[in-house]
Amino acid sequence: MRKIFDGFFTGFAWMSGLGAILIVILLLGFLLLHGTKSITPALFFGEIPWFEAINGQTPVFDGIWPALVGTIYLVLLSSVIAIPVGIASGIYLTEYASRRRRAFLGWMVDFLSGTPSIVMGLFGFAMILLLRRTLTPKAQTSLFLAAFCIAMLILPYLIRTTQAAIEGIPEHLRLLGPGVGFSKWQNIRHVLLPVASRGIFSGIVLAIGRASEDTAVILLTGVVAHAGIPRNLWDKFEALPFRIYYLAAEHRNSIELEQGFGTALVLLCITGLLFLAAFFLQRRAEKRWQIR
Amino acid sequence: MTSGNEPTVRIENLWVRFLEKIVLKDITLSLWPGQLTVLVGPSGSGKSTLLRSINRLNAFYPDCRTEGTVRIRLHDRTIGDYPDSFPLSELRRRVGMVFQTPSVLPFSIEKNIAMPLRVTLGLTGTALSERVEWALREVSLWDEVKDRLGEPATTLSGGQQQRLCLARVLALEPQVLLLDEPTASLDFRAATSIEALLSRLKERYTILAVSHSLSQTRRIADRVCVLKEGQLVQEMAGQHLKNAETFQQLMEAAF
Repeated sequence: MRKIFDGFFTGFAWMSGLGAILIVILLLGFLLLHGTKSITPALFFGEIPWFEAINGQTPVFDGIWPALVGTIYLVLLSSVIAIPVGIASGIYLTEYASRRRRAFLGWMVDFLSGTPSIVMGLFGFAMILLLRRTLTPKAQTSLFLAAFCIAMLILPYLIRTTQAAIEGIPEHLRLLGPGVGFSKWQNIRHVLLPVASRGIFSGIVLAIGRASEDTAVILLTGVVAHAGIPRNLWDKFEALPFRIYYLAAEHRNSIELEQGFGTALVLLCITGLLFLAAFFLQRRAEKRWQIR
Repeated sequence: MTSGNEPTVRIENLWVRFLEKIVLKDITLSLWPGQLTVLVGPSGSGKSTLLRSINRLNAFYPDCRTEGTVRIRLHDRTIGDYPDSFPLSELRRRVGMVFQTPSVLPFSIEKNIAMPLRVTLGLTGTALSERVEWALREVSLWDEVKDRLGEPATTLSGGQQQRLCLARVLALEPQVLLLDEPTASLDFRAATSIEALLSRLKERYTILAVSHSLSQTRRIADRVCVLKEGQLVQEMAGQHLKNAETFQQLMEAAF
């Protein structure tokens, strides 16, 4: 009986692992099959020459270039807001908070991570309505508002991974700093953060992925179909996930649908490039830490 | 019993509690310079807690409460008593600690020693390099690593890593060394080199070490203290340590 159970669970574990790989291969294959053809300069820039589009000389209305730029702006801006706050909160929870406060705040973080993104979008929208009625009557949904709401959405990933990475440091390393006379902050800065950096980095990667793909939040906080490249933080913007949604839901012919698949491929590539950039930044920081 | 006129560390009526559990009961113990004292006892008898109460690392655990006196005689003054206004940072530099598992940081060999010197003492430039070299020579590691100081410390063997950790502590110029089973995770050869090193270092430092190996204890100890259920139940030195049979009998009785 035990052998049967062993065999069943071993097989189940293998099948599950293979299943995950198979799903990724199928998804990529499907996208490549349907989307590769549409990846042409026209998909990005429409009828506009690429150099005119890139240097901003002529606005692009038919291509995904503004959506691509909008997504990069959105991810970078939300990361700039969320990463320092998330890491600092994780440090607070592990190193400074009392047991009771840690339990309470931990519950709040879990609650935040369970909040559906559409609710976060509604929160941003409601904030704008409130601002319009009170402090700034001209307030409107914008790139900054969307990035702020996305930052709230990805914050729990960063807090929890930072917390787990620091808590996972073995006791002899945690005591090392105080043991050589470091203050609490010196220990965090010179021992705990470098040792936990890989764990924290995995949270950053997760957060970037989540920020680049979310559609529900930006739907209510500033994304529009043909906004062009945003001129400042308070401007409307375009984004790739919304463009995919728009092309899939409103397509008039098969070419537009294929453009949707092509755009999805571009989004995957952009996310991959952002992961790579984060990876190289982390490795560079690690090398610097290692020697200096 | 004494190798110097006055003890470097004098512990009197020390009680340590974690929540309601009493871990150390009324410990009184003195450590003299030039003497290597080894603490032995069953797991959970409070050996590591006793070590940590000397450099006050128990303060790191929020549920820990300490009462009693731990006086440490430094070159120019005596510090002690719980609680005390003496800066913890300086106390911990003067009372260095090495842990059971080699606690190397994910840095280069050089930075593992240089970083604490830079952060706590503000050393830079030539003074820093000279201190790093001195510490590595002190633990007989300089010749093995002088050509690869920029390589990750994790590439060193277990024994080398532990000597690096000892060098990091020595670089801060301590007077007391606390060693929590420093050879427990090492193979025989590496453990032997650490033992030889400790026998050399005890001439200049006051050393309190924890060991689980009775044969090692006999080899390196000038004095042995047996801790059982948080109490110091036996102390032995001199002839008792030289005679293997007597030592074995005493240890069996104590455990």
